[in-house]
Amino acid sequence: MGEVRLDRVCRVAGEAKLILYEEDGTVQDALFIATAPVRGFEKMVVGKNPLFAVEAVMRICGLCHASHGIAAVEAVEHAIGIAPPRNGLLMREALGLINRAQSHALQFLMMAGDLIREEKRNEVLFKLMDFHAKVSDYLLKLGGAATHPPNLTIGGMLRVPKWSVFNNLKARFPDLMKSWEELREVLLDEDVQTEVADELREARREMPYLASSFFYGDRYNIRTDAVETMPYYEFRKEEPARESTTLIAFYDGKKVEAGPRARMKTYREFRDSSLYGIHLARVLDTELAILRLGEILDEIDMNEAFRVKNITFGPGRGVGVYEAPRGTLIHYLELGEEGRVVSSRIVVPTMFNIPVMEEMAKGLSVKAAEAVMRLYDPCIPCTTHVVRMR
Amino acid sequence: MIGMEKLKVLHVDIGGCEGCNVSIIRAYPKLMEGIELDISYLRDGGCKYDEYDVALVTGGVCMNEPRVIEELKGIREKAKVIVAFGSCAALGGILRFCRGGQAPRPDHRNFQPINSVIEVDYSIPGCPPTPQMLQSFFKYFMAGNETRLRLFKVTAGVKKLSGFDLIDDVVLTGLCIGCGACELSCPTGAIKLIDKRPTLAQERCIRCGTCYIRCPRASQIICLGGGKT
Repeated sequence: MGEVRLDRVCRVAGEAKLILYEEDGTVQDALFIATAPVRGFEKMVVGKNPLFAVEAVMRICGLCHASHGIAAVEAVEHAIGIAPPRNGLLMREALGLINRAQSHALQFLMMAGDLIREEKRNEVLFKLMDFHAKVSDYLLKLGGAATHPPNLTIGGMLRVPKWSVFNNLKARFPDLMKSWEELREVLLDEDVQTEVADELREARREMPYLASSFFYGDRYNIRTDAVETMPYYEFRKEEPARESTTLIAFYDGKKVEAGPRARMKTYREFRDSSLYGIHLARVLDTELAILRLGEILDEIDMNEAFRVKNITFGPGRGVGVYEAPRGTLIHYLELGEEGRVVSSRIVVPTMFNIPVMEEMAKGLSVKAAEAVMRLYDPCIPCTTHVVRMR
Repeated sequence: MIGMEKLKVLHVDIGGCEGCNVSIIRAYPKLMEGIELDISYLRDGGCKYDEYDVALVTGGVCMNEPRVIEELKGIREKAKVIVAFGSCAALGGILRFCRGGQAPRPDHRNFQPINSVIEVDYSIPGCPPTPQMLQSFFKYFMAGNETRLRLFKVTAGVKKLSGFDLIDDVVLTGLCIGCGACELSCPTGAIKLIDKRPTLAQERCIRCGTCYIRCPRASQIICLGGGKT
């Protein structure tokens, strides 16, 4: 059996190695080994104020910052028994959906090298950058920054944009939509796609799915106690796996796929079961996120509150579940006597997806197998910052 | 820049959150005329060239991982100019709070800004720095405008800055003029002007140092050699 070794997988978020074992050009097995250093955010927040914890965990990832922020504030609010007012929740949902569109846009950018033919690629990249800039501006205006939005905080919004900002964003919404529609055209145009895309279209395979909600996330729709994690090097005993710095996760003892396709299969009528279907689901996921963002902008009532009053930190346990761009993100949090963090555990969607990615690569050509890794949009900064659960 | 060759710019992330990468990608469309960016988000395989004019480094260096330290030293040899982009690379930032102990690698305890390991030419703090910061950096860099780059140059020798330093050096000494630049620049909303003086909500400060370099007084202090190492 031949071995194909990529010491640094390009066009993924973070550092990872990929080893493919092939026979006659067909991949028999794959090892996806993330090697980024562990920054240890769960340990970092212990002993700290929950407000610090929220700012800190947003910095786990520069791609799904708002998602980590939302899961963390949900966990804190669950622990201390508060909920933001309607405006606060709507704004939070909006920030999360903008983040979803941002993150998917970057995934399309990284995936363009696999799916789109070279002569057309640059045009698509420019369109993607333009769309990303437009959608990021929404996060800048509503969240306070295009990355790590500071307005997202416990109990609702830290600062509320002026009504004129909302009007401006609403007025620009058709332009954002137009830019997206043009982009969608090229992302789905089969005439400009590569052979890899064709191969992915032919490869039909599925695994059980995990999704808690479509737009936001719901801690009561999944069993948060049924999640188990283990270090990657215990899951794969092969020698090169020892270098890995990640953990992986299982739901109810099984490998599950999280992400856009899981959401589409669980909450929408989505029939495509090919690997290309993941790309298709991501395109639809982006579109629905933007449409929902438009709805939310209309629903905000400027005369109502955006944050709860009387936030008191005290002891308690909470779980925050959020549908991040890559899938179900879970933050488990415990606060102590003074309301400081006693323990924090984070399970990120890529932890569920790594074993699935390896499974999906089997039977494909080497090139397509590498593309599958990117198709699942693994986020290595996230996976290397999580602690083992007992 | 007509007739001149494009600057070869390499981007390397040595263990950050990728937020700075996104900032670089967002800055790129307007920089394309003058620079050729080699970034892992857009390429196939490894680095395109053996030598570069500028290397943008993002993320802090994990001192418990010799591989990362070696990689960083390798970048120093490859590039004529090293720019620490973002607070983790420039000043440690949020990574200053790391203390390890976490599975599967509890030994990853100590993270440092890259100037603890290699010589850095310019530092651009921010969490993340805006794309405009990078665009103006290259504008002045390509024009050879050392005056405009001075703040980035002196920051390259600094290993830590935070809201606490701002309060100590500017507010407690009576130098603050109440302009509000710190409040506007803070990426976590930790600083609020109360009675025209910044007040730091300590639990929100992530030690990114953005307020310090944005403060017209504090930036003068370090530019005049006010000893922050």
